[in-house]
Amino acid sequence: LIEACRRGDRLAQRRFYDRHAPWMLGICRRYLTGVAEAEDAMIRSMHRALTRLGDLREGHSLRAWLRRIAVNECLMDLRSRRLMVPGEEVPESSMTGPDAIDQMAEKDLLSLLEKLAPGYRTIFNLYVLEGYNHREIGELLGISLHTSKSQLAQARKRLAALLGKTFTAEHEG
Amino acid sequence: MKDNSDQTKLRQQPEWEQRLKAESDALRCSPDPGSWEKLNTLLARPTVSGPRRVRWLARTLVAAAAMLGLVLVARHTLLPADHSVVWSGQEVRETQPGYFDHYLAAAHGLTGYRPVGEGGADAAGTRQPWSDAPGTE
Repeated sequence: LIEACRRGDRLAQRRFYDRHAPWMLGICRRYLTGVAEAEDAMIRSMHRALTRLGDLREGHSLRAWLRRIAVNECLMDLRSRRLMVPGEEVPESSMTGPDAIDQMAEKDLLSLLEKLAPGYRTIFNLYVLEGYNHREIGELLGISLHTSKSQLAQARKRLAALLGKTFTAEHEG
Repeated sequence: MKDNSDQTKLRQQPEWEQRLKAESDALRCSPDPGSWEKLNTLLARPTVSGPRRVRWLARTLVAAAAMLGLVLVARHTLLPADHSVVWSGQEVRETQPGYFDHYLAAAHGLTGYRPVGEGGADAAGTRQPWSDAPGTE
């Protein structure tokens, strides 16, 4: 399938899209809360992937490569809209009240992440859900190691509060 | 890219974070029905970043053009027009009739002296090329 995509076979590219688009859109939705923005980021990621399949080296994981492309596209989108400022607080209007938290299903990952400010959400996504370390996050976002750690601690505290859990310092990254 | 200590990190993570990670790995969202058409349109456009061979060829062409430009500029700045005539002029062999005329013309072009015998120097040979103006004798 990859070889056919490299040759520009449109049918193969469609199959590639059908196979990977839902999963890549899931990644984009975690970073970008707007559905339209996430769709656009997914399309750009898919376009980049399909036009640069030649760069994928033998033996490298396709999933990891696609994930990196999707994450980079989302970060570029956030950066272009200046939504990745560390320390950014959640506006009061979008804060969830206690009743809403009780009603919110814990399983609903996306609605939970939506409650976080873009800066917190980005670092939580990168560290906890993607598995990047603080040094890598610092390089990606252009922030210090300390800022990355403190932002993650804040994000965890906020999420734990949203979930009604008690945040313990021993779990800090 | 991924942290090497994933397992260690998982053990340190609270249970709710591990659940979120599992949910995130399983997360799938249905794309908008029009998304493939948008992507198809993008794919149909010629892209700037083509295959590696095309990029290599483009870079080579740009480098060759730059080199050619540099050579032309160097020729025009390092070799003045009047001197270049000397070097680019037709070679005249010493056995040919016009050899001395050609030699003198070349010498004149390089130094500014007129060829001897054209009345440019006085008998004593003290005449300088800058004293050639009328009324200076």
